[in-house]
Amino acid sequence: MHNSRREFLKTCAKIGAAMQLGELAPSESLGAEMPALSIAHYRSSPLATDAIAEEARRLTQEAIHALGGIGRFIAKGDVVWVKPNIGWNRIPEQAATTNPDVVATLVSLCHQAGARRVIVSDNPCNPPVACFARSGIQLAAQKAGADCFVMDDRKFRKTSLRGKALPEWELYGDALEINKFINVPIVKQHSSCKATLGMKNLMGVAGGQRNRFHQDLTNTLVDLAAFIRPTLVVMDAVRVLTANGPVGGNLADVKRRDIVAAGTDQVAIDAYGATLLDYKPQEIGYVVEGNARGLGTIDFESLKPRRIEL
Amino acid sequence: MTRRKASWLVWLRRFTQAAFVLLFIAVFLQAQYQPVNQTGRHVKLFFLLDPFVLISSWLASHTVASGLLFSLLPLGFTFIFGRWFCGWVCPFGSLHNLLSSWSGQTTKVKIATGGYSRWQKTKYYLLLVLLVSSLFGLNLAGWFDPFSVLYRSTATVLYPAVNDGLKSLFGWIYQADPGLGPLKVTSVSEPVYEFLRRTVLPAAQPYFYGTALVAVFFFAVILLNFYRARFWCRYICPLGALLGIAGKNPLIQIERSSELCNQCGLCVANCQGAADPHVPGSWKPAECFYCWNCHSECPKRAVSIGLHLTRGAK
Repeated sequence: MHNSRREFLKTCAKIGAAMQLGELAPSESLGAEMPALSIAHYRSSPLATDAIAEEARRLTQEAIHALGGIGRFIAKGDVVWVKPNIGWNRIPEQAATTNPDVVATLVSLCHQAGARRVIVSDNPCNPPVACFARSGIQLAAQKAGADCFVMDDRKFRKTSLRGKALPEWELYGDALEINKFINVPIVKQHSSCKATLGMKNLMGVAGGQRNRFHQDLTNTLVDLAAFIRPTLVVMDAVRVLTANGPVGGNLADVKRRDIVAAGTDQVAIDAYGATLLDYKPQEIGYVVEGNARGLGTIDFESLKPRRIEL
Repeated sequence: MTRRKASWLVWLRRFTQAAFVLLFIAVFLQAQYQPVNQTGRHVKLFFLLDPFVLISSWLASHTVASGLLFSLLPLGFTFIFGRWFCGWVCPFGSLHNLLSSWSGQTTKVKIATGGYSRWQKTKYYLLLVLLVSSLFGLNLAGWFDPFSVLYRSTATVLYPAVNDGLKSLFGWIYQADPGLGPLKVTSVSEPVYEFLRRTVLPAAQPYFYGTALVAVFFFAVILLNFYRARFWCRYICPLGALLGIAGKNPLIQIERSSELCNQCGLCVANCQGAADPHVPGSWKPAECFYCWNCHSECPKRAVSIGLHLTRGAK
């Protein structure tokens, strides 16, 4: 089932609308006072479960607040896909999946901004029901009022991406039906592309034989990023998986960074995320490629990120 | 010949059967890994009613799973009142009941074939083999236990088949997206499918090896209903055999009045268990499911069912 050109253009218009509010809006209409990147850091590194939940919640709120508040991104009546990493059958402490409280906080913020519907979904690598449950994301997202249910495998549609590595691919139908996309990755070490960051997280929108992506991850991820163009990226680095990623499992590989970053430039935020794993941004293939294709800037410091200490 | 209207007792049985079938479906749907609440709590309900599982597992493991002691209740009930369980409770029995009512056999054929057959003893021998095997540590109860067969067939054959069928149908509609201008079929089909997916369909469908074997076994015993009504229950079911032994001389008995009887044979034609309600003095309680068909069908009201306190004093 190939999408016709007409449908492709329709999609472009929708994605473009999302882009206007996301990536392009700050530099053009809202002026320089709106930062493109914010980094919230929690000074104390609490150990109690409740305290970590509170930490994740506050970091997320403050990171969004520093960008100008959720109202900058989400308007009344929006249908939002909040896209965390639910890729693995792991508990939050193992840091292979996005912190559920970061996700839930974003869902609440979207509702506050008047979103009509907030979808929280991902196409996991491990059995989906287990991933959704074990990650704690389904429960947290549903409590926050999101529509969080394992994906419906009928709904992958061959979509024209016109990318370098992906001329077309099966994407989840919702990706073309929503009007706002918030990418919520967790920062992880990755065995084949060094780091799982924002653009890597977009793989969860795709279906089909995704193992083929690994032939050319760099171009594949940038193709996906160029097509999806998230309204906003919120990066969870409360816990960071520093080795044996992306699956992890060993708690000894998990380090606390107590950071949530948010931004509209998906290359810049990934460049910053790389530094949390002690990589130089230039070492991450898809960050370099994203920069080269003009998707964003690898020099995240040039965006004068707003840093918040809590 | 016009079909007689079923008596209220037969309707009461049908409602009870339907209720237990629905209960089975509800319990079955609970028996999957659920995203938030984990697996439902009542998934083993029907096995708790199953004294055959109690005995075979006890013989094999020398321990009693305390929950299974609950099955002594239906067993005790059968000792006193007979094999009602098969006719009124067992959902697998109800399925056979329904299928045999669709067999389309003429009354003449049913009268000729509806009587007791020596082959009905097969189930007692099967029960013996399974229990002896359990005694030597090889518990094969699950191969023939009616709830095991029903659960296994539903979980690995019927449910995946229904799910795949619906998925293909609604998937095709979603991908093709037919419609007239702005009126799209998907605006109806998608909410319907989403509702089904979130209520009765599996969130993720597991598939199983050896499904063909399960399917062949299941459809074989289902199709045998067209040869003899409730073939499984009459000839194979080891739980039925156990309850038959327990209900050999129950308090509630069927009697045929020779004065009123005109030998029309309608009672035996509609007898689910081939328990010979038409042969004077040789009605077989161990084969009777207490379905009340003989009582309901008799044009002369010659069949009566009642308390017989003088047990064994025939």
